[in-house]
Amino acid sequence: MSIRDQGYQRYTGTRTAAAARWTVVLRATLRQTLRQPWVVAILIISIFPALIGGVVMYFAAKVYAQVPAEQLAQMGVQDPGSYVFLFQVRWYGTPILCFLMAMFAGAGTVADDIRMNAFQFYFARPLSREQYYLGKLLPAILLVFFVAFLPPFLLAAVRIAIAKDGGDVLRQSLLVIRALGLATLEAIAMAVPAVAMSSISSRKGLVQGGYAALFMLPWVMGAIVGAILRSPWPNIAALPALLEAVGGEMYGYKFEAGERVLPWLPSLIVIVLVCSASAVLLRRRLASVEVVQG
Amino acid sequence: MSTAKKAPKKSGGDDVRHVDKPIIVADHVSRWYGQIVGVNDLTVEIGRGITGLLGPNGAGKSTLLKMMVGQLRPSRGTLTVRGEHVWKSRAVMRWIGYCPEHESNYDELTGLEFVSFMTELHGFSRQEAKTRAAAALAKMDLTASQDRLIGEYSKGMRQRAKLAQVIAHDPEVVFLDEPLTGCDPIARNKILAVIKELGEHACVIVSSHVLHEIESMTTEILLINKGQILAEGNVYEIREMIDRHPHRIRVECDRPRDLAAALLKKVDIKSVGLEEGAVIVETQNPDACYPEIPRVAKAEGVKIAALTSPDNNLGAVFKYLTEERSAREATS
Repeated sequence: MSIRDQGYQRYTGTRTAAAARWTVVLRATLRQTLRQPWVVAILIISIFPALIGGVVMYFAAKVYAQVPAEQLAQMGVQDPGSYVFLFQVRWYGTPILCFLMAMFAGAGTVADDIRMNAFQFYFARPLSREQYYLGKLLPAILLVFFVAFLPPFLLAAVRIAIAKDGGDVLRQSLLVIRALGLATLEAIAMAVPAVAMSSISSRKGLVQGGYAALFMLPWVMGAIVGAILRSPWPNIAALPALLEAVGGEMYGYKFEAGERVLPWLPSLIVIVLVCSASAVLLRRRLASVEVVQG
Repeated sequence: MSTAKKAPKKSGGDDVRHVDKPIIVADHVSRWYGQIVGVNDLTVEIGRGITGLLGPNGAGKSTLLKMMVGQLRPSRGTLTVRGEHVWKSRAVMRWIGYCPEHESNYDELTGLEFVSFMTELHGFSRQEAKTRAAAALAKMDLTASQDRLIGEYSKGMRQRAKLAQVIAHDPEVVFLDEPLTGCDPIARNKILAVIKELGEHACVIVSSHVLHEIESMTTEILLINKGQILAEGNVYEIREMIDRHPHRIRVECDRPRDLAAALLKKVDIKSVGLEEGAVIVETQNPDACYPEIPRVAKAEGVKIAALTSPDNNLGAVFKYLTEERSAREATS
């Protein structure tokens, strides 16, 4: 007679790949973030620029269709497709919504974990610091991307829908790619510094305030000093001005002669530097983190 | 092109139940916080079953546990779990379960979401993690509250949820830092039962500053004081050491003076003292004394409200042991 061991059986089944562990953090962070009322409100409000822009663009296209092309060129009127750019970064609030989303979804994410001492749970598990950092960074980038991309995407769809002919459809389809590119840049440029700042302190309000100051002060000061000096360069630290310069280039938008817009290449370099510095800061903050009860 | 899928990783290695070697080895481990010493040149080996880590507040228990789970780097010395260095080792993390002392609240998550999330981080699929989390919460009697936000939980429920995230992934080495803190009697009994069950198939280290809590879980203890091991072994040996010293019993009653007089005549006691509403008894023979006191009180018609031993607190234990060590050092 064989006697079988009916004692405790330890789990010997399969486990998911260690490299994909960051996706677990990402899902949980998204779930937690989407429970914040402000985040939901911003997501809803982000649709409004597209609604307003869609109506304006529709009527502009109808009016311009009555005017001969040569006359439009003489008047300096741009294709109604340029409204996508105007709504994405220039006039109608998408950068502000992106900033607010980065502040609410990004600037508290690591700070909350520091405050709640959640590293005790994360790092008592087979999860590397890099996986944690990716899982915390991507939700903020995704949510800002949603806010940055949805309005221009809808506008681009409207522009394509009112295209005159097949050639126009093909030409205007590029708007979607341009919106995608600029939204990606916008999302990274806004979210990465916000998440990096959130690793500095355990006080979410302080981090959010700091991020708001970092975003707003150079913008306001740049505008004032730029107006006095009649130069675009005081705006070199203002994220909306940098995105405007790069976005204008991506869309092929013709700025008017009197507009003080930064050259696109230095603007792009500054954005890349800010994002790289933020990523390095975040990595260094978490790389050798020791979990000590504060 | 090959379409064969990569073989999934199997969990486990040598199960701790079948390992005779020490599972946790600390070799001359020290940890400083600036000028302050948290753990001082500590060498210890811990094997299977439940081991109680006992020490007063600030003794270095949490620092030692945090080093054992790889959350603090030792300033000096080496610390291994199942032969692997712990600091930043993801391999070690697969086997361990850790219940931190302090409140760490995911208030926006439900109990089930929290435990599932923690279990998924151990490499379980979403469905498997959810199943295991539900089972762990059921074990902690939290099924009815598993879909409520943790922010709405009582302290005892949070403590049980924290323990559920420890057991859900079936760890082989478990570290519990003051797991009974803030628990009501029901939660306390539940947690004690789960810890005892865990001890049958895992190596469990439980820290506490309350002797009777540890006694109710295990007989194997490590006494830690000022960052150093003061004594290790069986809790009864420690008790014996303590019992060589007069043992004090505090009897709260309605007529302390009458009870004191009666006890002096009938029970093997060294001295009695009076406090407001209580008699303080000193005896060399507490085992005989404990059952005798209520009998004498009953015979005298004295009503006892409470019978406690001030010497059961850990401060007294440490006082005895440190005095003994000092005396031994002076003799040698």
